[in-house]
Amino acid sequence: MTFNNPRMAIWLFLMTTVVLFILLVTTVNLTRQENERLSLQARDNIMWGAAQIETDLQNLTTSLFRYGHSSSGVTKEDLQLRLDLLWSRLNVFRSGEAAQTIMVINDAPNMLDDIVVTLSKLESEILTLNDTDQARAIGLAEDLLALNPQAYGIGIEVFHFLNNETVRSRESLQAGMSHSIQYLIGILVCSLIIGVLWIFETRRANNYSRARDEALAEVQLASQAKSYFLASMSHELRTPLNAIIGFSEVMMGNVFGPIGVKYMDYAKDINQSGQHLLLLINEILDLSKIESRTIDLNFETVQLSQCINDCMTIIRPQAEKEGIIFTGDCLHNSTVEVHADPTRLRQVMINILSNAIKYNKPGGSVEIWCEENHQAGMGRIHIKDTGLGIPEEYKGIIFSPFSRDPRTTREKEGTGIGLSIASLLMESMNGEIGFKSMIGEGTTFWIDIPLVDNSAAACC
Amino acid sequence: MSWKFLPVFVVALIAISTHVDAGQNLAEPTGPIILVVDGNISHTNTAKSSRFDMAMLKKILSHTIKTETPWTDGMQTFEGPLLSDVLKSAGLTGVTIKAVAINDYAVKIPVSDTEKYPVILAHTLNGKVMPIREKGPLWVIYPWTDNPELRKETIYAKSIWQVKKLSIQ
Repeated sequence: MTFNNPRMAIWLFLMTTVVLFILLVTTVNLTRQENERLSLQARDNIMWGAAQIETDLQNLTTSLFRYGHSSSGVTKEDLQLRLDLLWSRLNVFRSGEAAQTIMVINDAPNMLDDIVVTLSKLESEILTLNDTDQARAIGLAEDLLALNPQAYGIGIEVFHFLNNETVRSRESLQAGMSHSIQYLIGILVCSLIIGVLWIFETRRANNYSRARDEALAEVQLASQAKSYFLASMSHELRTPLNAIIGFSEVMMGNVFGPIGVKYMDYAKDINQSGQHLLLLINEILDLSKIESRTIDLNFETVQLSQCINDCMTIIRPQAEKEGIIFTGDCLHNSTVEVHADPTRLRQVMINILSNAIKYNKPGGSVEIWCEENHQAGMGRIHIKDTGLGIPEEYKGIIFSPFSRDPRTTREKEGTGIGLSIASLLMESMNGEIGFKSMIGEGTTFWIDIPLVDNSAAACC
Repeated sequence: MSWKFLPVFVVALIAISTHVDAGQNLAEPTGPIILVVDGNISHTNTAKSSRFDMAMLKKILSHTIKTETPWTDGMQTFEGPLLSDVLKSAGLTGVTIKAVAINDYAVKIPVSDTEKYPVILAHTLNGKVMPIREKGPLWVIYPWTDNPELRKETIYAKSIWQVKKLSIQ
């Protein structure tokens, strides 16, 4: 779990960065939209327009007053122009953005309506004025004067509204900018942490890998030392064994005169025990040589059928002694040629055949045959017995040294390293060994050896 | 004819030629004058001015701009001569156009604007002549819908309506 923690943290920060990035993009986008919305509005025009209503109302009023004084030179055309200009100001607030904006500004729409209604009433009177209507003109001017508070009021209302809007927009933009900066700092901090964690994690992984390599090297060194020790010890053990076996044979052969029946039995026991011990030592020696990679293999082209026949000849007496039916069929595959050390290949086959006979049931059978798999580039030998079968729990360890099926340990002699040697030898010869087994029905071992055609790539 | 009238004749000739130059083959307005265009020719510094009635403006090649504006609802079709063509027809060149409205509101429009965009002096909105009450008779229109970069207050401010005079500087 501790190994996973930095990676989980990196993932967590990465997700946070992605979320912050999405927030940043969204905020920037919203801020940009708000900015665009503001730029699309001609707000200053609204302020200007509101101020102009007042100005043009006063202009019309003044013109009317002056029209009332005949000496001023103001004509009916002047009045018409002033009226048109005032209407054009009022019309600004009847369409477009100005109309939409003024609708939401407190009393402004009402005040605008007051002016429009009054002006509509007075308009026909203004337009029908003639040169003798000075008093009426002044009266109309007085009526228009009464509209001044409304015209002034619209300006004030628009001014306050736009002020608030400006502050609100500015605050909104500032908030957007402030959030964007916060998200950006967040992204930077997260990126920094991810970077640091990444470096930390990489270093830790490197250290772990180095430690593992060192441990592996130590284990290999220890294994080699063990193998060297066993090899040299085995050699030292064989020397005294030669004396024990040799002299027991001398005694059994009555070379220096007859010995009693009891002594003869003892001599046989000594000889058998010696032979067993020698076999055990030889096997341990083989195992240690293979493990320490000091075994010498002499590769050559081997006729598989010939090799099988040799093994059958060697094993047949044992099969007959145990009452096992032993058959082999390699005649139709006589051309199969493999690349192997013939002595070691025979050793492997004899080992498996010997086990097949040893652990068979009385009256059982052992069958050996071979075939060729061109696609895999392998020759395959099958050895099938009708023995007890290998229990499920032992299937994984039968090629491990000194592992024996407890059901047969007491009845049958054996070291428990024969299959280990077979497996390691096949591995050394670029082959493979395996089996299929069913409890009560028996076991079929198979041995794969590279074909001659395939050997160049496989062994050299 | 006595030679003593020669200076008078020369002065009269110069006066007539200046007037012809200023008019640049422009016909005399017959209807009410709605636009005065004036300016200076840098090398003589002589004042010139041209007067237009609606018929004269309509004779200049008309250009149509379909656009939305902040002062109207929905898409509008404006029609009128290019501002640059109005200057050409008055025989004037310069870098800035000072546009003045009926109420003497004035703005300065860079001539470069009229070279970069088809800025028109609209006299027709949706096929109708614009009265003073509807921002007429002349309204400077930029093509906002086709050029989003024009949608800003400084450009809106240059879109002057009720134009009565253009002074080229």
